[in-house]
Amino acid sequence: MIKTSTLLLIITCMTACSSAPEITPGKGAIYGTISAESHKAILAKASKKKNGIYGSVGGLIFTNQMVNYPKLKELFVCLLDPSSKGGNEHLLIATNDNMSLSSLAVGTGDRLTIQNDSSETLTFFLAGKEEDIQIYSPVKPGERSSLVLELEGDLELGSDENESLQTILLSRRGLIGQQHSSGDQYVFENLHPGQYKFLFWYWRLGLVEKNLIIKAGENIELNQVLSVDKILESKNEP
Amino acid sequence: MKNDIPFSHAGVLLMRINRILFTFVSFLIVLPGIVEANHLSGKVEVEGGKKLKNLIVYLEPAESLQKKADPRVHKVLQKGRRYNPDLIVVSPGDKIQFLNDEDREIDHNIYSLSKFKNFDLGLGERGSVLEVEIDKIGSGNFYCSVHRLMEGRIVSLNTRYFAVLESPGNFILPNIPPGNWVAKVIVFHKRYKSIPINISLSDTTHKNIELKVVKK
Repeated sequence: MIKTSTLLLIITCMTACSSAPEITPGKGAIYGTISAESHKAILAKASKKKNGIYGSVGGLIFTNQMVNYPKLKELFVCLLDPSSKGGNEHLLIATNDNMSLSSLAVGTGDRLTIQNDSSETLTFFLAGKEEDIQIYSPVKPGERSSLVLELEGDLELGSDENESLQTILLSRRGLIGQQHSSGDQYVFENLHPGQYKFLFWYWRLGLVEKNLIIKAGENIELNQVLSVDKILESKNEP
Repeated sequence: MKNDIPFSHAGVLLMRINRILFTFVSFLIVLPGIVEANHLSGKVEVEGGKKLKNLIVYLEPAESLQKKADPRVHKVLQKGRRYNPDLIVVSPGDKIQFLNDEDREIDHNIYSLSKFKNFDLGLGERGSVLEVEIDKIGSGNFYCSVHRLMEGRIVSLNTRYFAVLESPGNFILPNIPPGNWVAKVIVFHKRYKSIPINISLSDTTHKNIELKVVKK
């Protein structure tokens, strides 16, 4: 029993660490860990104090009224590939109370399907700035409706009938996105050599953008922590 | 007891007068078109009768010659882990003060990473007052990085002539200087947009307008 638990611990540690993908000849890759954490001022106070939300020295006790950064599930790592024409499939499920995701990173040309698991017919729309809008055909309970995304920018998916059904969309041309939980490893493999833009996004915090040159036969490790202060610092970088 | 009777009659009379006055004042406020000169009154109507929340009716100067508004300070409370108010309409040069008035030790961290205004006010402990100055027009959300339901919105306009409507209906914008204006409605629901109206106000006129909010 002890041996089994030790083995499990070793496997957990091994999978938790960022491991470089295998190199494909002539191609490159980027990999790393994506995570989110509290503001540095809150963490600094936690390192000194022990009461309320500052449970133990250096630690925070997250209540259900707080943003639980170590357990966030909608962190997106995105690659902008100018040669990509989209075509990825995304499924969102609508219930009477909410959407299956509150945020989603998508590329123009991707297909967005909505499954209506609510009890009423819903008319969904995608809206951006000013006149930008795409409208789904009405979808009856138990059915699906889909469209190919044309709009680019920071979009909102909503429904005419139920305002609690909302998903925030980050839409960019050539975007290939991966959804991760805080602390997950991400990897983009088999990339042609060239210059790419990478986006790290959490809807409540915003974007961190990184420009990287991928070379043949090279793996680049890029770990990103999303927090208010770190994102603000990245915006102020020259 | 005898003295009570005339007093009672006088009370009833006073109540009636009050009621008449109240009705008269309400009539002036609610009924569009009969308010005094250079006040703008009107109604916002939404296509399909949708009860959209938090509509901002405002007058934008048609020419950009209007003098800059005197700066103001707006206060936002945070008791109960809510921003109060959660919609703040300001003008460039205004300051917003965030008061941590929680009744127990609760820390906040107010920030915005919007394209309109980036700010991070750091640790806001109980009793603290943190301030941000708005320097341009636009709008953006702000949040508390600690509490997930704390969310608010700043709208910065180049005018002081606005009204926030909780739902579509009547509005009055008082004491509008004479000139040419564009009347608009800010609609947060992205399915809808407003149709602006150009209006001209002189010293002695008032206007009664109808602003339409339609589906995109």
